Amino acid sequence: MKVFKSGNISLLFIIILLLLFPLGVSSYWIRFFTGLFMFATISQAWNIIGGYAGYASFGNVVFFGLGAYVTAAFMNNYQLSFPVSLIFAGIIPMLFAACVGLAVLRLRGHYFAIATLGVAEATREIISNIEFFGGGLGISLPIARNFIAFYYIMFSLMLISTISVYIIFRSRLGYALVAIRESEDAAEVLGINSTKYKIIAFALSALFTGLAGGVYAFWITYIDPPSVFDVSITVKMVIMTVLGGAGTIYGPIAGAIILQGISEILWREFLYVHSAFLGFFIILIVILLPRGFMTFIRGERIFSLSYFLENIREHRA
Amino acid sequence: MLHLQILLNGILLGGLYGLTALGFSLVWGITNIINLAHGVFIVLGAYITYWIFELTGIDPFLTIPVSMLILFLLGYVVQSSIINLIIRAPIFMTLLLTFGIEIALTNIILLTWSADYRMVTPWYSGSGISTEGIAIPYIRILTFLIAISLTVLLHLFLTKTKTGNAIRATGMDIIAAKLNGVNVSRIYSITFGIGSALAGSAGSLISVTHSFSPTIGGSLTLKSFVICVLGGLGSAGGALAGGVALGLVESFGSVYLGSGFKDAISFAMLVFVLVISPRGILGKEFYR
Repeated sequence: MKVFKSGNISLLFIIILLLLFPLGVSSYWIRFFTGLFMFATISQAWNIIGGYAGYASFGNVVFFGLGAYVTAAFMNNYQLSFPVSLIFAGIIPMLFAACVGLAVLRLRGHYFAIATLGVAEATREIISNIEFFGGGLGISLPIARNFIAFYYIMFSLMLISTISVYIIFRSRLGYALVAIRESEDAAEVLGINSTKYKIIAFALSALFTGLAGGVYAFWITYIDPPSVFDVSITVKMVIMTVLGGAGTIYGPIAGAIILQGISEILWREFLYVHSAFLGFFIILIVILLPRGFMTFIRGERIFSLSYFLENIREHRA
Repeated sequence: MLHLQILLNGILLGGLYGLTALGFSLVWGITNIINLAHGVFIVLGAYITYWIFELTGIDPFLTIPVSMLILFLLGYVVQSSIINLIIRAPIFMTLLLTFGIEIALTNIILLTWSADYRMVTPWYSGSGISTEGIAIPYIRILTFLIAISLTVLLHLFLTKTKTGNAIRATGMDIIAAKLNGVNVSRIYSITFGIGSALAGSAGSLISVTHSFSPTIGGSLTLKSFVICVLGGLGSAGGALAGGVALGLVESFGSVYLGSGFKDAISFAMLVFVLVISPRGILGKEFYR
């Protein structure tokens, strides 16, 4: 049986360990891991459009914000239960992505990045001006005290998004997306309907990001436009994916673990300078490790100075 | 009268917006780098003027050359020692890199000078021309004129000097430029330096007309995007045209739709223009 390969067994072992994990640790670690799973989920979602399709969206936070706001508004204004609201938190960003995608996915390169950034900023402004969404004041949700539940929900979201990416990678959709990334014109010539596949990828990305946003809203219990439409959430998705390895299945998770781990240590030890450190960290990663950590984890390359220099030689002017 | 006042406000603000985006547009057009740290360079320019004015009392408009020089050097060093290292990487890597620079610089400024809002107020800051219900502060006129002059100067520099021609040649065809003996990585550094210097000058002017804090950089960068897309990346004049267009849209928009939607209007316009005409309204690819 192929299922019992050593890689799969250790994977299963890690999953079981993480499932039992909340039973024995303090709420600090539960909070830390819940956040980590959330970022792994939204980075995985970014990986679909940015890593596989090669469309660097700089506005993916819009789906996170919409998911959070849909959940909050439906629970507060219509007294819907959390699971029902969460379904909408997945569907509405997905439809939004499909509509917006029809327009912005025609753009390439920088122009796509900017247009998505513009969509996110405009949406934030519009939400802050709508009474239904609490305007600029934000929305407070009913307080849920069971933090372990959020741990498991975020964990399942991460698993589901990763399994989806795994399936996509092995399907027609995945091959089409990689073909589009490598050369969209060539893909079109081969008969790939690039518009259709790009929109599917964008919508799937929105689905998982929206779900994570919805869970985040109920977990944190208070949301306002600046916090859930924060550009730096998008940047974290991108940096985590790149850090792990864009266009790989485990890359976003590896990136989330490394970046969340580092920012937690910096935040704890150097509260005032941790953001500046994060900036320098991003600069270093982009210059030295543009292909991400997966190359080391897979054992393709050794973490060494000569590898760093090779990367620099390859990309310098 | 009200309309004339709004129109004038929009045009005067637009000149400043044009200068805000000018360096961003030059760097984008020539090196194909979206400099997400552009806004924070503007903020640095504003702080340079602020501190010179606070400590020595020198007129803020006279500090413009100082902030341009400092920012030129900073930009030159950033490009030659950091950005040039990844110039051939995929585009979102350059976006990430410049965003990393933005985060680092913004937070260093926050730590050194706090998050307080500041503004430079020389003795003449309240006075201006006012006739028949229309009021224009002198500062706004001066700012507008300086912005226009710098735009003209950049145009002359790019078209009349040897370095300027080398910059445009690099923007048009990098291989042909190399074959003609242009040192491309040096030209990139100079271009980025000039772009940063222009950001510095815009910062000096903004410190007199608006209150500023370390965190306004992000929204200034986004505005520069909008302006470049509106005006296209074709020329120095394009940035000015885009700036005036944004200035007019903002000043009319905030009167008729409420100031809460001001940014939403410009971003919606951005997406709209991109979708209709992906190269901008006056769109050409390079500085010609």
